[in-house]
Order: sequence, then structure tokens, then C-alpha cells
Amino acid sequence: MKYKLSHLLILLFLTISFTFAQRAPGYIGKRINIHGMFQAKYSLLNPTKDGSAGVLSFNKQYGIGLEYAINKRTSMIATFQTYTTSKSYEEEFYSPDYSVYINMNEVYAKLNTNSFSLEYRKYPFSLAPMGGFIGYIINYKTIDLRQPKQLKSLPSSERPFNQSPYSLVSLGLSLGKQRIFFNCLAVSGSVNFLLPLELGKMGYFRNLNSDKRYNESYEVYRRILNHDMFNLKMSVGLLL
Amino acid sequence: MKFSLLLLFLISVSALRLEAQDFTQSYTPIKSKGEVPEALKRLSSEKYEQRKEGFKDDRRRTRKTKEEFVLQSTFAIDELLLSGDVFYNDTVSNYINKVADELLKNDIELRSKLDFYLVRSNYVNAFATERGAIFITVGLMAKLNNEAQLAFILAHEITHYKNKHLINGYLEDDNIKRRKGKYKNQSAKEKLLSSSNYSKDLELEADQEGFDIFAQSGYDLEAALTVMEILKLSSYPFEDIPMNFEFLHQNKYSFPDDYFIDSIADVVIDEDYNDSTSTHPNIKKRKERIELFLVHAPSNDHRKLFIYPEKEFNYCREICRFELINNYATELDYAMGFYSNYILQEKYPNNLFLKKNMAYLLYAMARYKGYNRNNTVIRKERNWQGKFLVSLQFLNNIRNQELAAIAVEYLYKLHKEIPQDALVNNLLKDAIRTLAHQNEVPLDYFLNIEQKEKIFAEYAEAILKDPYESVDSSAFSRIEHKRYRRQIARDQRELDKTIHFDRFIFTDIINDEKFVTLYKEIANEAIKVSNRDENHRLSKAENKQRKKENRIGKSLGVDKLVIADPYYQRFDNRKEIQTKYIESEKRQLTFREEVIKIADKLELNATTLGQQEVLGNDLDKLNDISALNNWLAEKSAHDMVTIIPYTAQYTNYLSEKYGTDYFAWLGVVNTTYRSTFNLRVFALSMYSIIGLPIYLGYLITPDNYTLYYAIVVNLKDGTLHIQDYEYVNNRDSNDLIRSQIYQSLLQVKRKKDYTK
Repeated sequence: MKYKLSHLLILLFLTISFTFAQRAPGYIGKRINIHGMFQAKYSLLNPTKDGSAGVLSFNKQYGIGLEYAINKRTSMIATFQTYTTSKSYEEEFYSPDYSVYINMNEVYAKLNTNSFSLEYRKYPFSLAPMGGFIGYIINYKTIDLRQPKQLKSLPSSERPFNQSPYSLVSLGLSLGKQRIFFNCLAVSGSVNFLLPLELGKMGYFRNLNSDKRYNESYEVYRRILNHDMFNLKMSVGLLL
Repeated sequence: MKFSLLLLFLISVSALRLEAQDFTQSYTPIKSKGEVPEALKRLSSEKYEQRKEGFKDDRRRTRKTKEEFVLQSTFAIDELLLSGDVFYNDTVSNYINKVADELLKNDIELRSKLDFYLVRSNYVNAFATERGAIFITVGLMAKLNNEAQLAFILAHEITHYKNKHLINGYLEDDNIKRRKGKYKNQSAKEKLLSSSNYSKDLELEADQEGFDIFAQSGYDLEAALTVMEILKLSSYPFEDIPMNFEFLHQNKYSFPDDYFIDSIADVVIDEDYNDSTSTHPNIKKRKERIELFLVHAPSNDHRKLFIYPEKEFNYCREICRFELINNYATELDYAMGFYSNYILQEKYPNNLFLKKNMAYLLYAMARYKGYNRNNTVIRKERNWQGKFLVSLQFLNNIRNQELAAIAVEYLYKLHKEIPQDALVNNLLKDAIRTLAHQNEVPLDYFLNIEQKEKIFAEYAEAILKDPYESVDSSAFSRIEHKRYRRQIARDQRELDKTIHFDRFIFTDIINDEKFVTLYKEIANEAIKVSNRDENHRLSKAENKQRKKENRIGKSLGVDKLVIADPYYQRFDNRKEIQTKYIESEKRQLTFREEVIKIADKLELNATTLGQQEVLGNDLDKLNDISALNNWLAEKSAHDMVTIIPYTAQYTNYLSEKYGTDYFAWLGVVNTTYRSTFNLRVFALSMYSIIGLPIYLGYLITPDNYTLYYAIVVNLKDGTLHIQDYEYVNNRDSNDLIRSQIYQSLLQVKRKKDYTK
């Protein structure tokens, strides 16, 4: 699904770029910006996908996007991003028959996330797509949880109930600045805030009975919220 | 041989005659012509680098101060030289140079270092620069009485240059500022006084040594003293003559007595004013010094007021007076223009230029009165003396509709004289609009001769009647007296309304069918010309449209554009010399290149005016820049008043010359400031692990503000099509500037209107 969608997006980007004339708003007539992005957040509160934590290790996410300058001050951006992070089981797990004991400290489940965003970006003091901006984001995510190996040794009845892929809709804000170099290279840096909404399969109040024991969906939600709440984003793009 | 000499003489005489203007008929404003002076062909930064070399051996501090001074002066002089306000190779400049030749005929070397220029400015002023360029204003030339006075002024300015007064003054000011040497421990006030005293000393020295240079020539030495009288009256018109308003009313009616002052006093100006903080000593001190020089001077016998023919001086002075009148209209000093024009019209009653100028002044003052903004264009009576005060009193007292009617009548008569003149035609129509729409006066308010005579016959008795004739007022009590006086005043007002003079203004033309048709046509126009500010407020639909235009931009569909003088300036607020001259000049050149490149990309044929390297040998471009900049300056000065600019008549030729009606001004101003520390933000930043480094980063890096502007106008109809002002809290990076230029030029080129 993921690969098909990204191919489709690339096709869409290319179609738009070749069909639009140069005599248009945007940077010297270039109103399409195809960019790749890198987003990072220090892993103080949440460990990385490998379980490492600290100021110097970062949760990273990658993506591609297409920005299209609608008029003098505004642009629309469609983005596809993916990242992997982890969920911790910080507990000691005993099987009901006491035959199995698993130390769950430092055991992490991997969370693979695919996210699709639409951003309405305003450049209040300069001309799109360059200068300082404020973006309003709506984001849709699917989260696939892969349980750690340790849990696989458990009988299926004892394993946490996994409802993944989870889905989540978030609203967000992006503040940053985009510069253009050599008339074709768009480099931007921004700070992003995303707030997950109570939608999809994993809302805070939607815990299923079967999920209660391990509280897995709640943990995933908390983890994603922590991850998305505050991010630094860098993107490098090509202006067309 | 003889024949060829005769031919040469004839050619030169005919060339002079061709060049000479006949003031009795009209006047054509002067322009620069001939070869481009060498001083304009090189970049200012190159000149600065060259001049800097001369201070290599000075002490560090002195060298630095001198470099600072030369940097500023080099760029300031070049800016003035390239502004279009300096005339090159024109009759007056050539004459000034001739007088300088005479003055320095014994010092050829010094003469070779000096250039004399005439500047378009109404101020009575002359100034020297450290580079040897000496400037004389049109205002000063217009007021001089003889060649000898001009020679003394030149001698004074030459001394400033010769004795390096400017650079020495700058060095001394630097010492005063830093409280060095004898200025140690001075207070701020003492510093100001020291600076002023030093400047006055230099002026006295320039008077003294200038007098010595002057005395070596054959000019009448008394001129040095009489020139002080001119400086004393510098703010007054060039002559003080009684004003007769017959040229307006032609004895068809008379203006009410209360429009005029009762008695006219002569102009008396205190010569011994307080000059403690001035740069120049007061007139009394200067006169006393010159009188002293005269006592010790060589004999004044056989000396002359004119070494060159007197008519040559008079011709040049007359040109400057005409220029002065032109400038008054351009700079919105209408009252001064009105009086000065009258002075010249007394001499040249048939001069068409003067008539057109007067017509414009009447129209413009009526327009401004209609907007209740006459204070900005008509000087207040206070602070003025002499006969000029009469015209001020009249212009301030006359009512809106009266002046508008006078303007219409004046313009209509002028239109009949020169029916093909586009400016007069447009002014006439707009003056009728002022009267019919702004003042809402219907045509039937005005009377023809028969009606006028009838009314006079009807009311003659009432006018001449003594109100106390049939009344026995001896028995009146005090209260009854008062009541009766009020009754008389009421009757008088009623009578005044009926026989008010403005009803008779059109008596000559109201039976003219053409005039009546024109008036009715314009009165029926569905336009809104109002004197109330609320009409400047936009309706909802207009507001919506404006917002849309702001978002999307306009579409002019223009293929050719002329860009006047692309401007680029960088300032650094943290430095003592805030203008970054050299960087600005470099950026200006690249800015111009960018404009051309982007215009090419948009397939827009763009021509730029005003850069040194494109100036080449084309002095005409300077004339064009001058015409354009004057037009824009006047247009902006009119602000909210909708009016035809006076300078529109001087820009008509540009549309034909460049093949487009669209002209633009583009520019960038960037200023760097020191970041200011904010305790609250600092405290907030401490809460987050990344907040503090971000805030510290902000404090280390300076704040930058960039203003980009683009103005695009249609010169033909005077419409302002694009007015982009982008003020960005950012550096003037290339990408920012490029995107702004593109956006402006795109609006010029784009044909499809997306706002509709």
C-alpha cells in the first residue's frame, strides 16, 4: 500500500510540475517545490526505535512532499512521512502458569508509522514559497505495532492483544522559514506541533476490554503523542 | 580666409540666437545637454578608493576620520550629481563657470580643480565640496542683482575649498565629539557651541579670503556688502512689488475689502539675530567685517558690476526666475508661486508659460481649498511682511467656490488662446469639476452681463442707501441701537448673497455656447469629487476587491516598462556611519541586473535609467530621470488630494521616447539593528532545553529589516497601478529580493486578471 501510494504521489507531482506555466506566482515563476524532509526529536522522554535515549539520540522521521504556491502569500503542501519508534513494556511479566518468566524491562515494541499530511501554509511577510511561514496541518497516520521477540515465545492467549494497524488523525501547527538557493534549491527549517485527536481505533477512552491488561493501545497513543508534540523539521527541495 | 571667419561668426551668432529664449512669448525649462562630465562616468566607490590613498601618511585616527568624511562626501556628491537636479552645460551653468574663469584668471591651477554647477533648488544657497564641485542654487541666482555679487559668492565658496574647510570642520567636530584637546570635559551644550563657533570662524575666514580673491578681480567691491542684503531677505520673493488683482477680475467686479490688509509695512528683518548655535555668523557681523575689508581694500575706481555684458547676467537670472516659478508649482508652494508669477507677468504679460503656470496655481489652490487642505499649499500670513503679505491675505481669505470660479474663467480664456494645449484642456475640465462637483455650484448661479446690470439697477438704491436715513435713532436706547445694528447686518448679508462678486465672474463667458455645453457636460458626470475625508473610505465591495488584489496581485498586460533609477541602500544602525555606501553601490548594480534578468524571463521589455555604467554618454537620461522623479515627488506630495500634477506636462515626451506609458520605481532599503535583550523572553526560554540556545542565538545575530518597494504608474493618465511596499523582518537575501522583483514585474506583464 505504502509503495503504491508514494509512486502515485510522485506521478502527481511530476504531472503538476510540467503542466503549469512559468508566468505564475511563486519564486520567479516556480511554484512547485518537491522536497525530501528529515524530522528529528531528541529522545529524552521516548527512546528511539533501538531503545536508546538521551539528548544526543534522536527519533527521526523521513518523508517526501510537494508544495504548491497558490497565490502571493499561501501554498498547499501534501506530505508523506514514515518513521519507526518504539513502545516500552516496563514491567516484569509472569505467565499465569508460572512456568514462564520474562523480564520486560528494556523490551520494546517497534511502531512503524506512515503519515499523510496536508498543510495550508501562509507566508505573511514574504512571497510564497520563500520566507517565514506559519502552516496549519491536518495529518492522518497508520501505526503498525510489532511486538518484541520475547513475547512471541508466549502462548497466544498470554500475549498482549494487538489491534494494529491503528489509525490517528492529528491537527498541527508549523512555524519556520524557507530559503531558496541557486534559484532552484529550497531549504526550510521549522518547528512542528501535532496534537492527536480522539479518532480512529486508539483513542484514550476507547480501550477494549481485551486490551486492558496490557493497555497497549493507550501506550501507543501516548507514545505517538509524545513523539509528535514537538519536532524539528528540515527539508531540502527542488523548485520547479 | 575672411569669408570663412565671417561664416564662423554667423554660425556662432545664429547658434546663440537659436538657443536664446524669448521671454515675452514663452519659456522652455532648461535641461542638461552636451557631453557627460567625467565625474559621472566612474563609480563612487572607485573615486573613494582613489581619494583614500591621499591620507595614507596621516596618523591612524586622523586617517580614519578623513576616510569617513571622504566616504560620505563622495557618495553624497555623486548622488546629487546623478539626481537629475544638477544642470550640465546649460546656459546658466556655463555663465557661472565663465564668471569663475574671470575670478581665477590669475590662478589657473586652482581653477582647473573646480567645477561649478547650477542646482534645481529654491533655497538661496551655495555650497562647496571637498572634491571641488561648487553648487549654486536656482533660488540664489534668481535673487542676485549683478555679476559682481555672483563673483563674491563664488570667491567665498572657492575659499572653503582652497582652505579645506569641510574636511577640517569634520576633523574638528570629531575632536569636539570625543572631547579631545581643548574640548576636554565639555558639556553637551558646550560641545554644540564649540562646533557652531568653529563653523562661524570658517565662514568669516571664507568671507575674508574670499574677499581677497574677489578684490584681485575687476569686480565692484561694494557687491560683497550688497549680497548680504540678499541673504537677509532669502526667504522672500525675488522682488517686492504692489499686487494689482486686475489680471483676475478685469474690472468686472471687485473683491471685498476684507480680503486685503489695510496697510502694508516694509519688510524689516533683524540683522543681529542670535547666532550662537548657527553655522554662519549673523548678517550684522558679516556686514561689519566686510565693511572693514572695504576700508582696507584697494581702490574701487574703475571696477565694474558687470565684466561680461549685463544682458547676459539678466538673461541667466531671468531663466532662474522662471525655473523658480516652475519649482514652486512642483513643490506645492503655491502662494509663493502665485506672487512670483505675478512679478514676472508684470514684465512679460503675454508669456504663455506664465499664463499656464498661473492657471495651474489657481486650479490647484481651488482644489486644495475644496479638500480643506489649503494650509499645506498656501503659507500663513503670520511671519510675513511686505507686499507679498497682500497676496497671502487674499489667497487665505478667498472662499473655495470663488477661487474655483476664478480658475475656471482663467483657464477657459487660456484655452481659447491655445485650444490645442492638452494640459490646459485637462485643467479646465478638472477645474469645472472642482466647481460643479466639489463645491456643487450650478451654472445658473452665475450671471451674464444683462442679469448683472439688472441686479445692480434693482439693488443700487439698497446698496447706496444710508440705513439710518429713514430712522430716527436719537431716541434709541442702547439695546435698541444694538438690535438695529444687528438688523442692518442681517440685511447686508442678504444683499451680499444676491450681489456677491463670484456671481459675476463668468459674465464674459457665460453666453459662450461652448463653455455652457462643457460645464453642463461635466456637471452631469456621475463622479464623486468630495471635500470630505469619508469619501476616501472604501465601500465593502471595493474593500473586497482590494483584498483580492493584495492576495493575487494585479494584471496590467504591459509589454514594455521603463524603470527609473533602481535604488538600493543598506544601513547599519549599530555603526557611527550608518549608511553602507560601498555595499549599497555594489548591491545597486546587481539589483539592476536582477531586474533586467527577471524582466527577460517574463519576456518584458524593460529599460533602466540612472546607473553610472548605463549612463554612458547619454545626458538625456538624466533629464528623463529628473522629469520622472519630479513627477513622482509631486504626485506623492499631493497625498490624498486628487489633482493633475503640474509636472505632467514635462513627462509627456517620455511616453513617446520610450514607446510605453508605463514607468516604474523599484528599490530596496535594508537596515540592521542590534538585537535587544528582553528579560521576559529570556526567562521563558529557560523553560525549554532548546529555548535558551535559540534565544542566545537571536541575541548574538543582529535584527534585519528590509523594505522593498515597487511603484508602477501610467504616466499618460497619471494612474498609480501598482504600489507594493513589503516590509520584512529579514535580511535582504538574494532570494527575497528576486522573488519580490518577480512578483512586481509579473503583475506588469500578466494579462489575465485573476481578481475578477
